[in-house]
Amino acid sequence: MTSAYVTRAILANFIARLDREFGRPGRLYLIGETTQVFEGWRPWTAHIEFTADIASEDRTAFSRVAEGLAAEFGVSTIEEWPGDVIPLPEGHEGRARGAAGATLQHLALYHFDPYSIAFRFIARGDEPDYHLVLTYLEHGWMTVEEMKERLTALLPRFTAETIQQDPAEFRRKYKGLLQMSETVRARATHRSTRV
Amino acid sequence: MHTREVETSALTQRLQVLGGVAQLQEPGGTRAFKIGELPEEFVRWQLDYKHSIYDAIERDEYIAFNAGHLPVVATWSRESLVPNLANKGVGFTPKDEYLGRYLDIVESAVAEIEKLPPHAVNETRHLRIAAAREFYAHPEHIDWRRVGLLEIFEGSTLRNLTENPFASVLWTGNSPVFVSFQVDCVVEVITPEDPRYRFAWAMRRLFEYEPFHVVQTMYPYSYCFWVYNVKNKTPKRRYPGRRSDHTVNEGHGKIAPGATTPQ
Repeated sequence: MTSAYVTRAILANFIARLDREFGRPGRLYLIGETTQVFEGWRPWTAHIEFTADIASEDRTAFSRVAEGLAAEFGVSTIEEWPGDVIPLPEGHEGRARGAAGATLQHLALYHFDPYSIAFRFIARGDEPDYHLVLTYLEHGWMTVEEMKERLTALLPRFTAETIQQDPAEFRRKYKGLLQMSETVRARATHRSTRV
Repeated sequence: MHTREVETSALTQRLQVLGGVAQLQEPGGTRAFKIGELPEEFVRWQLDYKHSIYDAIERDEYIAFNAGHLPVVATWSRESLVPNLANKGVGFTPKDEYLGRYLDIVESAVAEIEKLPPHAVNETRHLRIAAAREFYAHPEHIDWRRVGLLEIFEGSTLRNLTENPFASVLWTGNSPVFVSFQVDCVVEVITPEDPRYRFAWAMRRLFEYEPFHVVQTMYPYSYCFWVYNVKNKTPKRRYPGRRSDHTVNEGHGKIAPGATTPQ
């Protein structure tokens, strides 16, 4: 059963209800396309994707509220700490961005560091993942130069012990991404002309 | 009843889909196929592709190829040594309960654009794209268990499907991912009065006079391909070691005995 799109309105409503019904402090970090829908860069995404920094004693309550809201809204959610998949680049905490426009009572809302997110999704390498990174570049939240710089420091920490971090595959995907960034517009999935 | 009508009736009524099972009537008896939805990864790729194409049409850009819409379709007769292969335009149809709603949107748009000459594509572009986008803005209203095609030439594909109503469809996307799916289907032949035919025809008509379509006016049949098997053929690196532990163990270039390749 394919779910309805998660639009900006649905996302904003989900976050507001999560804040109100959870009712305790914490940090909510939006991830990837969820950030991009919140910022109005793309009209929809398939899942609400986030990670949350919540006191351990509140964790169960938080998950219960988030799951209940997902069921009520008829959308799927993915909660994942990107650092569980790849090592994160130095300084990722400081590069989280406050999410403007959300007036919440309890939770603080952020966008996770775009470089960390870019590397995590390049590592997965599905087609929407490339367009996710191109969209960050297009909106100036990252630059190719800084991405290269951070990756030079980060790649030696990738291990050949897990498929998700396979350095040879990562390099191939990253090279493909750079070629795309010079050739196609973000979200132009079809075979198109140079931009 | 004329012979042609009898033949058409036999052709269009031999497949019935009830309760998620396609029942195919054959001379030797009935065969059943459990049908299922296309996988989420494929659906996502299709939706991205549709929106990407509509963006390009909106900007009146050159579209080099529409891989999401033009997969290779294989059909075969019972005796043939090789399948017939053809790139065909393939689209989706609403779930039965939403067919009336979207048929109204798309056929109303067609009625509007037909008030102008066919070459007035610039004047009607906004209306045409809005109608198509409205359908693909609601993936939960799409029946992802079936795809629709329009028959034009009544050639090898029709002959094969008349004799042997099965088809395999292969989609392949662009570098560096090369999204690729093979979808195996049992085929229902449908005639112009069927709402699914009308929907497929009207969607095609919205973009009939854009430069990426060879203009066609005759579609004797439409096909409803019911999905009963899907293979994700998107290329992945093959690791020589055992895969079940999700490691990149190089295995010294040898495949470990009993190694599995999870999909």
